[in-house]
Amino acid sequence: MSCTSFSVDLLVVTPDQLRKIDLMLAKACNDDGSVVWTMNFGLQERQNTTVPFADLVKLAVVLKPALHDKAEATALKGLDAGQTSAAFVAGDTASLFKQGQVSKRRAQSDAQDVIASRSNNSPTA
Amino acid sequence: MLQVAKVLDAIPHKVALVALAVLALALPASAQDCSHPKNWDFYSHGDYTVRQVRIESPIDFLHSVARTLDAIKPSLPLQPGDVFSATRASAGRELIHERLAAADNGVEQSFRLLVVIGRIENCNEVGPARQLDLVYQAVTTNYNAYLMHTIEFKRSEIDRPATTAATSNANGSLLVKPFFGYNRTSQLFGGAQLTARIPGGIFNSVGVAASGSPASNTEEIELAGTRTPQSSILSRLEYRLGYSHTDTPAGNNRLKEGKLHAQLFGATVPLGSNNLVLRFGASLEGGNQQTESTAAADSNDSIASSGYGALKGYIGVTASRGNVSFAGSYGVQAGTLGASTSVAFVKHLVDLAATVQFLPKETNTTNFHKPFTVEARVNGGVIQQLGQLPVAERFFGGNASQDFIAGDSWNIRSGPFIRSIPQNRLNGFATNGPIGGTSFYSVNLTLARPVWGLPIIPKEMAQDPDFLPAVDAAEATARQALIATRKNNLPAFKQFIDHLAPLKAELKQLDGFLKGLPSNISEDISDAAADVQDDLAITNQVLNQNQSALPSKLDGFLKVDRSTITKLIEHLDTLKDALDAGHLGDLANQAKSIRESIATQQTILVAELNRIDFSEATRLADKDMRQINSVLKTFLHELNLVSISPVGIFDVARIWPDQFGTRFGIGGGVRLSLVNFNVTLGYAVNPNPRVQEGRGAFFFSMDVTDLFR
Repeated sequence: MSCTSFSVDLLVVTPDQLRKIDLMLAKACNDDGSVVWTMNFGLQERQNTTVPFADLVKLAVVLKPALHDKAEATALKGLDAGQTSAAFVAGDTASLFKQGQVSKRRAQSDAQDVIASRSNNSPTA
Repeated sequence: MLQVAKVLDAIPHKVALVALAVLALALPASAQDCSHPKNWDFYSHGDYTVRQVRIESPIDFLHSVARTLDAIKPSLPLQPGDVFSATRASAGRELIHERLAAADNGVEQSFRLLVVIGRIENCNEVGPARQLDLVYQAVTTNYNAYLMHTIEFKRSEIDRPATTAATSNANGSLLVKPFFGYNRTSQLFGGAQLTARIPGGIFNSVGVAASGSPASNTEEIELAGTRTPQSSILSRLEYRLGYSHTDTPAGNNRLKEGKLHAQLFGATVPLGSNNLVLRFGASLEGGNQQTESTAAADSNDSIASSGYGALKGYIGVTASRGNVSFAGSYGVQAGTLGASTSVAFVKHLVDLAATVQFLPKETNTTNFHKPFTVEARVNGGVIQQLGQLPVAERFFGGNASQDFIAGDSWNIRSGPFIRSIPQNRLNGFATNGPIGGTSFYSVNLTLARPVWGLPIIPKEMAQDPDFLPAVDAAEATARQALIATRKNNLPAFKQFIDHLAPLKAELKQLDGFLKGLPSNISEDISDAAADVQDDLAITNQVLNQNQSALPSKLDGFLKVDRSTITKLIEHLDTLKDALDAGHLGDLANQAKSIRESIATQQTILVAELNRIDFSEATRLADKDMRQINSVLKTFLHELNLVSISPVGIFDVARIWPDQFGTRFGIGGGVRLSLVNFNVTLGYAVNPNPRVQEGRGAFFFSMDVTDLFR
């Protein structure tokens, strides 16, 4: 499979300076020719501009385009509305996992389900 | 003069960089091609060694970027002599990305695009010693919120990259830079600028600059400080304390000045959809001024030499929309003849500048970009005489811009600018003597379009079929995240949250049900109950923690295929089946009943959610995205690493009193642009030369294009 490795990272702070969004998409190549897409999604918020940002969502998801069309569509078209909302929920799950309140399996499952939440009506790859 | 000298310090570095870029362009002709440049696995079978590893960046002339890249190189998984591996090469790309992103931590920035791409080249694919080069290319933007929207930062960043970057995130200590230049009035001049950082003090830096020529000399020392207030309105505060001395010819006259200045300057964050930045400042100055035209001064109610005191105030705005950027400034100066409160004159200045770029539709994204740029500037001034007017405070014009404010954070022209007449000679031969004027205006028009260049996004990067879609994907995701967070403030969603009460009641009943399960249950029942317990923990977290963010989570919680509630329902089905299998029929029925109630609530709530109009959230998010789209568009479709453009100019200037009237300048030249830093050299014809004037003048300028309109 054709592969060169690259990454794109977009960080945006909203004009009111209260939210910071950071999305990183990375493509890695393996010696066996396989390709791995990774997505890191972070959202930080603060109540006013005099306090530092605090993590609201911090999520790392490995996308496997060979296994799922939605993964490749996500990598090439971005998260759709449902996936974005699912990412916020997955952020809560990740937080609960850190506190020992849900299993690691569940935290991983919710992260992968961000991709599965893509609407069939959203753009395809 | 000092301002001109200050920007000149960048020349040697830029020229060297451009020379290297041109050299680099010529080199690939001798390079060996790779038969499978896009298939790294082809070279990952253990038979290729890495000849060299390079990290390149279009902006590695910025000191902080260059230093970061140099520090990364020894840590890369693949080093010269290693066997090539696609996996390890990818890990290197990941390391570079992490380090560059980390270098920006702690820097206030409203936007950052960071792209790192790896490529292989110069493959030797025959013989036993097979080799290749591994090259990583990184493109990053690390401008902070205020600096993105004003012309002056980019000038500072590019003129003196090391010192500017140091104010944000570097540990620079001492910087010495030689510079040189030429204009017909000052002749060939040279000098040096020394800047030292002062960590932890009120002032951030101290700078000393001096330059000299057979005709002129300039010296300056300045303490400067910057603060970033934690305010939603004020973005930046700057303050300066300095002394400067200048001695410059003005026709048959000389202008000499020595003065102390103390300044305060502030700017707001970008406001509104046009990224409007308001700026304001004040400067208190005192010293002395001398000229050599005593007789002419006496006959014009002026004074050739005197003490000097001034209080200056200035206010301005910069704004941008689409391909147009605008800056407007007004300055007022109340001046005295020394340490006195008796105001001798009041000077008023207006300076308006606009830049428009027209972008032709591009058919090949790997070519350099060819924006047609129109730059227009109009400025004028008038002096109200209340007493004797120092000659050095009168208006002198020519092909060197004079700044109203000492220092370099804000550029307001304080005299007429016309490129066909040498510095300070606009009315240098007027019948009332070479003593300048008391009012003026000038209009300057510059047109340019590149005819050669290299795009800032390298060809290899732009040609990668995944690169542009990945940038689009990041942009689309940012928009969706903004829409989601904007939903949090819509009243309709706050009302919807009240309607979650029945669902919460069902979840509370479920919690009681789980707690009531017997302890001696099978492993299957226990596992299924654990999954439901996880669901409950997540639903409680979503519904009860940080309720202000709940609207952004509702789709993922209720609506999408793999929503939290859908998974809960599935896990309740599994639990019911496990309870049935364990011959616990009553408990299974209870689980089924709760499951059906929750499913009913989900159906009702999803239907209600679908009816909510969130177009206002979309509108606000799209407004937020304008700035992001503008920056992305600039990087992808406008910005060249280096370009050469023919330039056309047209100037009009008038100064009063001057019996020769309105003067013109028409000419052309060539502009060398390095990213957004422009060096323009040309000749402007004086179409109607007056007595003792030449046919025109060479002009030389350095300025910065406002990239992120």
